[in-house]
Amino acid sequence: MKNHATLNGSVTLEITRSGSVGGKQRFEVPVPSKHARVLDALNWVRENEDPSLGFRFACRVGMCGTCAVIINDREALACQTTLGKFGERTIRIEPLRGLPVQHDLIVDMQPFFSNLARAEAGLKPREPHSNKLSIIPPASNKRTTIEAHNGCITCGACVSAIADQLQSSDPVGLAALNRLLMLMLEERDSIGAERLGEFIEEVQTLSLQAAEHAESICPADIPLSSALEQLKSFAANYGDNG
Amino acid sequence: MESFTCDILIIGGGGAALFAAIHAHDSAPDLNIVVASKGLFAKSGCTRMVQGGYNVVLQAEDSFDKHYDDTIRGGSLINNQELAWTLVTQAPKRVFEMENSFGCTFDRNADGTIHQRALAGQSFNRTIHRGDLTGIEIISRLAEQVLVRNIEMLNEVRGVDLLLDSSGQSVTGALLLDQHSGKLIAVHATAVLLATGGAAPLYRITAASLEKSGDGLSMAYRAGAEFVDMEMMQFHPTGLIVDGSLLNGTVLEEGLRGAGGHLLNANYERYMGRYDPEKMERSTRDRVSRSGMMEIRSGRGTASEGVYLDVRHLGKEFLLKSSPGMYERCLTVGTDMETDLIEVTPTAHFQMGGVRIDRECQTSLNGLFAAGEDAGGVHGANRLGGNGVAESMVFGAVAGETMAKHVNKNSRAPINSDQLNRLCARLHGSSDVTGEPYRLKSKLRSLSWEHLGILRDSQGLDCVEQELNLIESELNNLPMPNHRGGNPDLQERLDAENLIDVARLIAAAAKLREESRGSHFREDFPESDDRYLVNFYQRRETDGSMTTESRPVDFTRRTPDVLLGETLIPT
Repeated sequence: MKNHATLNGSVTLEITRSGSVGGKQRFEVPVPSKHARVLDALNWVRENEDPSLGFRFACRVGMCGTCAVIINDREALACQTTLGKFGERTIRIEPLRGLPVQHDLIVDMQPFFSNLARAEAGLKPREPHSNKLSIIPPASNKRTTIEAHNGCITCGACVSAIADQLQSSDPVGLAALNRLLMLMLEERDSIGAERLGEFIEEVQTLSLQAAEHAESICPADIPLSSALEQLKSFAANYGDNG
Repeated sequence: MESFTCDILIIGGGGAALFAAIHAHDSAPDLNIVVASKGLFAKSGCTRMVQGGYNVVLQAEDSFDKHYDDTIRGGSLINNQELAWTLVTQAPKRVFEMENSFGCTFDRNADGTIHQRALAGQSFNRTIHRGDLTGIEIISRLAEQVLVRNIEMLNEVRGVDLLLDSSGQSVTGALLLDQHSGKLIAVHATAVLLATGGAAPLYRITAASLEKSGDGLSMAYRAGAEFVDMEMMQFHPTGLIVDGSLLNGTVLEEGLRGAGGHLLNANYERYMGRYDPEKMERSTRDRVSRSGMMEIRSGRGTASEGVYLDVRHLGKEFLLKSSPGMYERCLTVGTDMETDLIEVTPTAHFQMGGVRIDRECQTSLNGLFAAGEDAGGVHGANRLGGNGVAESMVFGAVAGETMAKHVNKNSRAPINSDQLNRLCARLHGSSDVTGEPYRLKSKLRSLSWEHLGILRDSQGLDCVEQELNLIESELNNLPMPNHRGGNPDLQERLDAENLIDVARLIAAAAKLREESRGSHFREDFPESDDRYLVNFYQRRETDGSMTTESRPVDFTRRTPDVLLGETLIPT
């Protein structure tokens, strides 16, 4: 069932495998069109060379974040990265760092989700039973800040990007911290700045350079360094008041 | 095999599943609730992919009656009128809850009031949205509410079959499969919710998340639950064409047509004038999809079997403001909306039919509940844009509350160990990876696209039934794949088996409906026919045969004469 009819050229995928296969395995993959993605190439391998290749995807359009992997040393969504992007014949694909590998390119996201739960990263409503919608002028300062930080697709790329950085013990991670910042500014939330409590040390320890690096690879373009900067200033005030 | 016991087992990880989990938990915080999701929870399924928005009556000039009539007209009058009324009247409560309790923020006007727009088939601007990527906001906020409640999630654990008591009339749990470890898990539960999403990936070209394979539908079918409206499958008219890519068929939102986008054939003719001269591109999804397919079939399609969506005249400023996500998406495939035509194809999108439920989400089997795309009847023959995610939220919440009450009043019926042993024995496999089940699934998807899709006729439907038998026997002749973690053959095989069940249900109902209505179009019966103001109900009998029976639509709130409108007799 190999179909090379639409081949405009080919690339070499070098995929980091787990388990009994192990190591790095190379596949010659045809490029069906200039818009074909790394995800399409992985799928080609599964359809034509090795049906046991493990990789994760769901939405195919950059909305679910499940296909986050490391492509040529940078975290990225396989569905949003075209094969021609690097101008290189060889494309190296590895699983995200900082999360346990389950199978080939699939990592266990449970620790990531657990951190969101540990950070209580969800609204604690001020008026849960209100039967009207808040007036939320979109141009207000607070709201534009919140909106700038919204849109995280919880892909785990930021965990991977700073996995080798020196951090506080048991960090909750930038995705959770970014959400906490949004909630601390949220008028509908009943907790506010208190949310930072047990994460102050992490906020103080984490370097802005690390956050800048995570921001540079964030598939949802969340301004993570600005998030950390604002949290650091919250943390400073928190100390003053406490 | 592992096993455990819980009060409520929710199978699915999208909007309906998560809303049900939250509402069941909040109704009775002591309940032991487990959610099993085939993909990662809140990341698989289609709620996340919602673009257009959520229809809800929030303005004094709008009314439940108007939303209701739009919904029933859109559904070509065969909706379950009580379910549609529930949808319309409970939609506002869920929006208040999403905003005030979960922290969703939908787009606002400059003065801070909620912004609403209209999608096709609506008489009022009632769709709330967040840009053109509404689903991310909804599912992200739902997911964190599930996380902070510490509701137990099983990720990448799929449903295999429902477990029944010895009477065969009560569901007492489900057999699950952990897709990583390959372990089977028998869950003994007092209430089970099916919220796995529909089977749009039965079709070669689909907008849906590809891991969906009608699991809930086929599990319910094999357990003997009753179905309704299974011939009704919605095709969205503007799926992006990306040759040779998994992105092929993903949806470009309806707002682009609503805002005045044109559809052109390969000769650059604006063809909708031939099919709906009055509404043109703003016509309902069923008609626009069918028109596109007819152009393609008549040789006026592009080389990639598509048509063009032309939004150039709307201007870059407007496009970037109203559809930034779509603009970006098109750019990634080398199409600039401002200067280029966008090549699109109709794409399988949403399953209107499903398990028959009552207003409390109770199915025909005791202990079994369904919500979201797994349930049928709300949308009749065609769903309006913006009513899909509203359905998931409204009925997810209803299901959660109903199950909490059910658990309070009922005890767990014992598991029928004969059935459990039989299911486990069947799945005992030894075959290593071959890729064969995937190949058969692909064959099935092409077959369905060809004969079970937008244009149907009696010959094609007969062909489907024969071909389904062949594919099924090929599948049955393959050795059962082993459970070794990471062996995709077992998943693909279960997917293919489930899709075959769904295809059979669709084909049988489509054959009996010898007329055209909503999304169901018979080339051999192109007109709609009042004798078919009926719903088809199907179930699997204990001998394995399928029975299909028609019952007149129960016009509990509106009679057809009141609604005689343009969609009663589609052209």
